[in-house]
Amino acid sequence: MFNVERHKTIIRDIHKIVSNRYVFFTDGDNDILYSGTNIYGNRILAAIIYDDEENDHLRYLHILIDDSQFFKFINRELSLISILQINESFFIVDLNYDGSEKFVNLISFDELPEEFRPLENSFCPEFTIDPTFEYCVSLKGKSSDLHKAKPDDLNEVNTKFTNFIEASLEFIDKFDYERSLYIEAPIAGSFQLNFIINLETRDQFRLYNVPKRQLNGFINHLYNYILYQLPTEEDDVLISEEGLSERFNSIKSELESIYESAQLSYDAEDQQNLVKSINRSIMNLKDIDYEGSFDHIEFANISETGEKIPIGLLNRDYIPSVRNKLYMLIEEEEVITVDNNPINYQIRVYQFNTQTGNGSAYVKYDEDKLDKVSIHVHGRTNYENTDFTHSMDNGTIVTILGIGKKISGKLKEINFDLPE
Amino acid sequence: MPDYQMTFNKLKFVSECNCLSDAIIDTESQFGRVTSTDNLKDKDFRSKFEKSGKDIEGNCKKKCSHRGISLSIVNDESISDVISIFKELFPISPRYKRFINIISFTEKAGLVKRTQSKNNKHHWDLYKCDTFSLQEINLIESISLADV
Repeated sequence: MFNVERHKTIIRDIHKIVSNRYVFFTDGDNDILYSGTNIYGNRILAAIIYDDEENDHLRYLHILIDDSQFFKFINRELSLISILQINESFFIVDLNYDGSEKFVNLISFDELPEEFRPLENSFCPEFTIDPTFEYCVSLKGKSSDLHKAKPDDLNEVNTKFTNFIEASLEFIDKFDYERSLYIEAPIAGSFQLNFIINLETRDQFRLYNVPKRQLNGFINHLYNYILYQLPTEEDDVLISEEGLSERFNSIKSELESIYESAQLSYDAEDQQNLVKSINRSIMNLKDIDYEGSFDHIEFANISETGEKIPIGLLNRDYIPSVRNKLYMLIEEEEVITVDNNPINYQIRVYQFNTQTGNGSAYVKYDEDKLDKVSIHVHGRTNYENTDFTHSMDNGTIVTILGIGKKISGKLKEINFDLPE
Repeated sequence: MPDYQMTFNKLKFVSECNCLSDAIIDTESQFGRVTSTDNLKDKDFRSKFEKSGKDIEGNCKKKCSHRGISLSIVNDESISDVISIFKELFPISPRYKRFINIISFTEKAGLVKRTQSKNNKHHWDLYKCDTFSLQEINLIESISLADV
C-alpha cells in the first residue's frame, strides 16, 4: 500500500457518492467501477485500486469528472489513466469492508505511485445493462445548474424530445404493439423530464412474438447510435448503401433479429425505413436554443433501480455534426434574406447585455405567434435605460425599427441602430 | 433433507432465504478465483459477510451473495470468456487482483451454486462449510492477468 501526505481542507463530502450510484462492474467480491453524484450534483467516477487484506480495507479512486469525459469513458473513447492525467487531482477513499469510510484524501496524479496507476489501455470494460422503457432528458449548464430554467426552454425541450422519441419508435408499428408515450411530472427543482414508453399488444391474438425486452434493447442501442455515435461517423453514412458503417450495420443486424423473431423478412424497404426514421427523429432536435437556460442536454435510460445510464450528450454542436450524414438536413438549402430597409418589429426582450447591445427576444409576427430571435443593437457604448431594457425589465412588447435577417424563411436575427 | 454431511452454521443464514437450495457438492468441475497473489491464502476465501462482520440490507439474492465466495466456472466452453472478463478489468486496477487461480474442491469444502450475473454468466458461489480450510482446495493452475 502507499501513504499520502495529509492535506488541510477538503470541501465537506465532495468526494462522497450520495445518489445515482451505478455499478458498472463488480467481480462478485467488490465493486470495481461505479459512478454517482455527490451532494453538490457533481459526477464522480470511482475505481478500486487495492484490497489491503492486512489492514482490512479497500482503496478507491474517486474522480470528479464532467459529462463529456464521462460519456467518452463509458463509450470507450477515453481511458481511465487519461482522465486521471487530464484532471490532475482526485480523491483516495479507503472503505472498510462494511462500506464505512475509513480515510479520504486529495492527491495529485504524481502522488499516485506508478504501480497503482491504471494502465494505458484502461478503457471502460464492456458492461451489460438491462434497459427499461423509461428515458430521461436532463437540462444542464447555465442557470439550470442553479435549479432555474425558463418555462419556454423547458417546454421546447419537452416537445422536441417527445417528437424525437415518437419518430424513433415508428418501426414498432409493424409488430402488433400499440405504443404510447407518457411524460412523468418532473421533480420540483430538477430539470429532468422522464419519458415512459408503453407497449400494449394490439389485440388478443398477437401475431408476432417479439419479446418487449428485445425491442427495448434495440431502442436503447438505436438512441446511443443516433445521439452518440452518429456525430463521429463519416459523412454520407446514411445517404448511400456504400456509406453504411460497421456501427450502423450493428444496429441493422439487431433489427434484423427482431424481424426474425417475428418471422418476417427484412428487406431493402425496411432498411430504408430505418434510415428515414433516424432522419425524421433527428429533424426534431433542430433549433434547440442552447443559449438560454442550459447549454447541454443529457439523454439517459433509467434502470430498474432508478439510476440514470447515460446514452447521449447534446449541445449546439450536435446538429452541425450530423448535418452531412442525413439527407433531410442536406436537402435544405439555407437561403438568407435581409430586409432592404428597416421595418417595425414588435419584440419582447428577455435577455440583454447593456454593454454589448446583444441579447435575445421574442418577436411577434402573427396575431398570436411569438418566435425567438437574437437581437443586436449598434451605435452606443452603453444601452442602459433604452426601450430594450424597459422591455426586459417590464416584460412588455415594444415596437422598434430594425433590419431582420431570415434563414430559409425563418427570422433569426434583428439588428437595430440606436444613435447617441 | 440434503444428504451432505456438512454444517453451515458460521454463515448464519437468514431463515427466510434458502441460500443453499440448488447448491451442490461438486468435486469434478474447475473454478476460477481471482486473488492478489498466486499463493493461495485463507484470506482469499473470506466472504463479504466474514470480512465485514455483519449482514447486508436487501433481498435474499443479496444476502446469499454476501455469504458466498465468488467463483467463475471454468470449462472448455467458458474459459476464454472468463479470462476475457478479468483481463478486461485488469488495466483498471493492475494492483488489485492480478491472478486467476483455477481450482477444484474436495467433498468437504462446502456447496457450490450457479449465480450468474449480468456481466458474468459463468458466475458461481461457494458456500463454505464450518470445517472449510485451504486443504479442501486443489490448485490446478495460477494465471497472471498481466500475461494473458
